[in-house]
Amino acid sequence: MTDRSYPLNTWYAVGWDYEIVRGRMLARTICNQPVVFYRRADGTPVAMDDACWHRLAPLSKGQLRGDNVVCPYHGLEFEPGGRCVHMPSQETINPSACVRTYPIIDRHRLTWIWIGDPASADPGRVPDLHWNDDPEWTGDGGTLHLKANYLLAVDNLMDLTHETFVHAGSIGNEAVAEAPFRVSHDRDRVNVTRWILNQEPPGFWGAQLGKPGPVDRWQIIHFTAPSTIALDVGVAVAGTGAPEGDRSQGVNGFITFAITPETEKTTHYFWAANRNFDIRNMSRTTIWREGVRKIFAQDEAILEAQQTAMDANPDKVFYDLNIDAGGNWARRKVAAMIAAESRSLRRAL
Amino acid sequence: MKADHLDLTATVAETVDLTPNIRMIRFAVPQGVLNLEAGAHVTFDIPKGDGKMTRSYSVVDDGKYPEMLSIAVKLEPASKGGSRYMWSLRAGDEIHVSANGNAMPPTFSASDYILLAGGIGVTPMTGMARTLIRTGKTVRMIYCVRTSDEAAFAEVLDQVLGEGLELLCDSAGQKLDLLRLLDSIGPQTVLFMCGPQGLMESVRTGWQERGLPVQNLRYETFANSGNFPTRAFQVTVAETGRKLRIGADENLLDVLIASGHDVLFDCRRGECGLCKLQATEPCTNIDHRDVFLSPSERARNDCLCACVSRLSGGHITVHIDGIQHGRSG
Repeated sequence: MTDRSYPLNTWYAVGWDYEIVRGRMLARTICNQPVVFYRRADGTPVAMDDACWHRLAPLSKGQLRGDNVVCPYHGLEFEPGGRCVHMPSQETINPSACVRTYPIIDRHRLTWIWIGDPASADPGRVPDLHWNDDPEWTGDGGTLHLKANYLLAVDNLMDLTHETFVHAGSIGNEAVAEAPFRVSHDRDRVNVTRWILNQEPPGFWGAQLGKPGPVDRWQIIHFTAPSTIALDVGVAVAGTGAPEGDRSQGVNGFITFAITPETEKTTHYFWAANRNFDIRNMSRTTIWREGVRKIFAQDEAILEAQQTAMDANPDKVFYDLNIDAGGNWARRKVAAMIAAESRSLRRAL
Repeated sequence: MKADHLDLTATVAETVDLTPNIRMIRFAVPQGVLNLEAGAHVTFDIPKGDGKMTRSYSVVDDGKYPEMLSIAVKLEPASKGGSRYMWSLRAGDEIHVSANGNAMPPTFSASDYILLAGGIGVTPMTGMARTLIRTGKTVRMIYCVRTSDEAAFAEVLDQVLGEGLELLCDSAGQKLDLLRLLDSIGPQTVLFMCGPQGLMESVRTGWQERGLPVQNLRYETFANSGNFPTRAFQVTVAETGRKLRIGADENLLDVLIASGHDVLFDCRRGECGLCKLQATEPCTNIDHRDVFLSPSERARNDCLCACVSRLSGGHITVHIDGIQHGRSG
């Protein structure tokens, strides 16, 4: 029944926690729904539809009065639960005057919204991106506003073969594209594991390891449907036991991704590059963040070009290669979530 | 005008008599078209003579099953035509749905909730109870009925709420202690209510007197009861000199429109105040069933909301133009 490419009953990142502040409203569209975000005086975040109950004027262009939002057009005032508490020129308040509010929660440096059935919003289901705020890790990230469907970004991250071609020189080399990989899946998760053994490291990784000679390199993709990815990457001196679990002679990063559909053809893409070595070295944090930012700018260019080409070729379909196994499992998990949402609707009959 | 109007055919799937005079009617509807979350209502077109009238019913649903619309209809002995028609529906019959919306959406910002239902006002509260319990909220419900016969949803609510449900049966001498209830309400408690006008007005007044947060009192009104029994009355329109009779099964707004008077209206629930008419002189027979006018505006007895308010009988002359809006100061 639905043409949506994304499920609704899930937590989506709406922004970095520092983007939503007291005293100022942030307007952002999530799953095609314009939403306004702000914080109460006690710091807890609020998410409500960015349209006044009365004439649909965007509340984000109004002002905050304490914890309440005042519409810029006629001064209707809404409390954080969405109920109108002031109307102009009348002594009573229409009992039905409410704007929709959404469950919202801060976790792992991001702020997450549940855009679907609020009664099923379980804070325990916020995706695990603990590397973003784990004391044993450090790092920083950024945001891409991608003019492409969010699943194209998922495809991109579920198959790192593209590193050889899109990111040649930095993290990509011939060895990546030709190394075999293993794909496994369970419930709403997909893992893709690729080991590139006993090869010269590409430029970025050679510099991080700081030791000469060949390396064993790993790329382990942890996907949680619909669109969260934790990418476990690193290199260790070849033959020191990294594939068997001893990473002591290597360096490790966890690159996290929270990918949120803005519309069918645009995406909020929140990434962070974390590492667990030399964690007090802020310069290294900056080098990682800026290096990764350049890499993702290359992804952004190819994904937007891909979306443009898809729009220009509406009669054409995708074909799959074996390198697409991870992405295809991810898409199947997403499809199952969307189907489950409409099945729970059908069960009544 | 809000875009909650629609053009949809619903097919009766089944009817279940919950009590001798309360019937649940379930309709199959296309998935994803209607808002069926807790608190939502649906408006049906019902034939009336050569024309039609509209009747709105709260949904029993809680949004879990958007292909099935369930309502509960109490057969009124002096039926205004609506309940009698709804009771005539059989499985397979079709009915036209002309509007849908939610005037009492659930709110999840509190942790502590009280649901107060009187009689058939229980309908939206069943879905509300389920939704809130599903979210892990603490829910206490007070369900007031005249006779145990009327307690159509007692069993299902008992399953959902268990100890949280308090059933008060008037015929067994179980009265609602409203003052005690209101005194027990803290600043973080949200109260949802639906029931007879007298009950809801007492709660609204008590709420205001105690200075409880206005956003924590949620209610829905279809204004189908007032301070007086529903009787026929007469209205003269000052501008046209026409004298109209409003039958016990009609409302003033519909009669004005049907007789060719050009009047404003929107919500048809007594909320928005657009259909307010001015009496040429104060009239003490007005049965205010709206929630728009404030107590002081009501006390002046010189205006009424045509969509829901009536006279307890007798006659009134009203202006339909030159209406004074805004605060009465």
